[in-house]
Amino acid sequence: MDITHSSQYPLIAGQHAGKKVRCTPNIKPAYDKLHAHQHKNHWARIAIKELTALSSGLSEKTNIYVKPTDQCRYDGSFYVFLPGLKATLERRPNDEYILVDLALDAMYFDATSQNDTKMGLYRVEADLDNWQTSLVENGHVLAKDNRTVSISDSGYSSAQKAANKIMPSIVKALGLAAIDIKEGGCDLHFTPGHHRQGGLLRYNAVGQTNTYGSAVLLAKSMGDAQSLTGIKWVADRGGSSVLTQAMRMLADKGVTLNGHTIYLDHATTSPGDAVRLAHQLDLNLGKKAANTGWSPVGAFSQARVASERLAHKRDSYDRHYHTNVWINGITRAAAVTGLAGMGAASLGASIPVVASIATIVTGTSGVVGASGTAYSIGQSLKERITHQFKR
Amino acid sequence: MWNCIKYLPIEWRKQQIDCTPKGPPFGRRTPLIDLLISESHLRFRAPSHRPSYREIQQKRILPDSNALSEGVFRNYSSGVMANNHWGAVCPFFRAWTFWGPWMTGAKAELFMSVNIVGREKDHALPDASFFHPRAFETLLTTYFNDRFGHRQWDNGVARHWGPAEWQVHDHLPVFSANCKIYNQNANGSKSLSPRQLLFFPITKEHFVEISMRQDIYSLDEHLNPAFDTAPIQALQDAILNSVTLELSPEAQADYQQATTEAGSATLTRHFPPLRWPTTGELSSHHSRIPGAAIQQS
Repeated sequence: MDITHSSQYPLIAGQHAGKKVRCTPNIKPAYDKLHAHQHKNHWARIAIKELTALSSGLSEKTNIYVKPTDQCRYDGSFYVFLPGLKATLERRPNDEYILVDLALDAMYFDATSQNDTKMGLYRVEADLDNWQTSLVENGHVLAKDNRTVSISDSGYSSAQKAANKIMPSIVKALGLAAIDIKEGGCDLHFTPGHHRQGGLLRYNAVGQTNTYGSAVLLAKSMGDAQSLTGIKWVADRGGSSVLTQAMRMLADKGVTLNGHTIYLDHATTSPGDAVRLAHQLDLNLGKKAANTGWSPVGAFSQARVASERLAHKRDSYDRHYHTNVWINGITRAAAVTGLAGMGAASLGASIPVVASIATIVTGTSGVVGASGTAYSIGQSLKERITHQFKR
Repeated sequence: MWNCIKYLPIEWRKQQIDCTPKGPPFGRRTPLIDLLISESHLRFRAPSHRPSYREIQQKRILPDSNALSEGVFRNYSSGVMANNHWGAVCPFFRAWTFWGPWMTGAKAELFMSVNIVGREKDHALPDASFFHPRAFETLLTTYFNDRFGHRQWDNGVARHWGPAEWQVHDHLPVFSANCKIYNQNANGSKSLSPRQLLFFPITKEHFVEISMRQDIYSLDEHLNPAFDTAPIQALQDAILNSVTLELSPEAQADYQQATTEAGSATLTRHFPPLRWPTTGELSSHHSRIPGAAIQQS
């Protein structure tokens, strides 16, 4: 590559002042995409900012690494670590930088944070007293069939803290399937951050831009684990946001994860999207793939999830189980709202969402009460509901 | 009363501020824990369990029930140790959270566990007594190598570094020592808060490991604690200083015999950090040390 040729490459920074930063034509589309998303995505903005900042030279930047073998050469290439990306640049004798490669990489967080707080995959093992975590640098799930990979919510100060918090509930949620966790350990996908994911106002997982970086890493781990069988991807609470986004990315790429299973424990984002994507990815879904716990919105989602799942031929979810779970979900949510003093025994007025499902499904309003009696009424209506969902 | 309100265990205004966090009080009214370990009594004062999340459960045994009634067994995942030569029981595990003022969140957490460690049945050293100071040193070396030495990063740097700051004590009826094990990054930098370990033998075949770990949750941009960590260290020191041991007559006799044979009842004053990571060969070499050889040395 001679200089005259490379100086005609598209300019990405330093148009007016400073060193010129160019990129090779084959990288340009990727760069343009990044550029287009910088107002929507925090990480894209950071990446563009870091690349543009190269026009002021390399000094005082913490995320730049010279390739070890090229340290003695004047025009050696160097890496710039960006969120979820590794950019390779070359320095030309005319003091221009050429962006020659952009690759997925987690090193940005190595450069910017402490070991136990990095985003990415950790091995979790039962130590003599509690759970201990150790970072997996390449992000590969341990090459063992039937491995469990838990995906934590953000808001934990360190991976160690996240593991201690979520492992007991994951072991409980998986039940018998978790027997090998104590013996062989499991993997944990950790997302650092100050706030929890999901919730009533952020219910749409795909719209949550602040976990994109983490989802990219998880999608990479999932794609790499494609050849393993029986991997269980278990999202705890807001981890469902990261998992849904990662599945979205894989679905867009056309990857299938045949024989893998997902489970959402107390999902705080819509399990409906997750289930639809899981079908696209050929994932297995246990009967109880999404436990939404005591949430009215969750109860609503169960209805959306159900129609998807009933329509899908290969899904193990059947009408009988659906009725059971769904009635439970509704009554549980109703009990909570009743306790919260939001309405009387009849939910018709207080919670439109839940009440409307109740109306749709049972045909009568006021069936879903705030206590165990409503549950028994619901069970007796099982046949009618089954009929509704046959269509 | 004022402090009860000021340091509520709530995290609604999570922020990194310079403050003095507040943990559980420690004093004369702190409950005395009495662990019965095959007729010997290990006693220390420890506040009640106050974890940051209620999912983190304490471990305890019924009062006056022997912690070693079912011996030691492999209660850890297969990757934790380099081999399965060691067994352990954990009769005590608690966590204490240190909260910042005005709902600024958990600043740090102190974890304490008491582990009773011994050799698994198939790998027992029948001729060696843990009360023999030289045998105990060799065993500790093997234990350190098996537990911490085998872990390494992809580039070959060990994940742990230690034992550091080795200190020998004589306040217990048996010899004891404490040290620190640091976690290490792939580039060789040491972690902020090491694991503090106190070791002493309790029977001919078992030793006690009291492990203290501080997790710092609030860091400034230079990755140093953003607040005053003195209260955490103070609680840790207070608990460790309250440890007392009452040996059973049988263990007392064993201890007398072993120390007379050895000619001394103290551990080595200097225990330099071990060369980690251990390769597979080194680790298996250590585990093959026969008990008789230890006894003779």
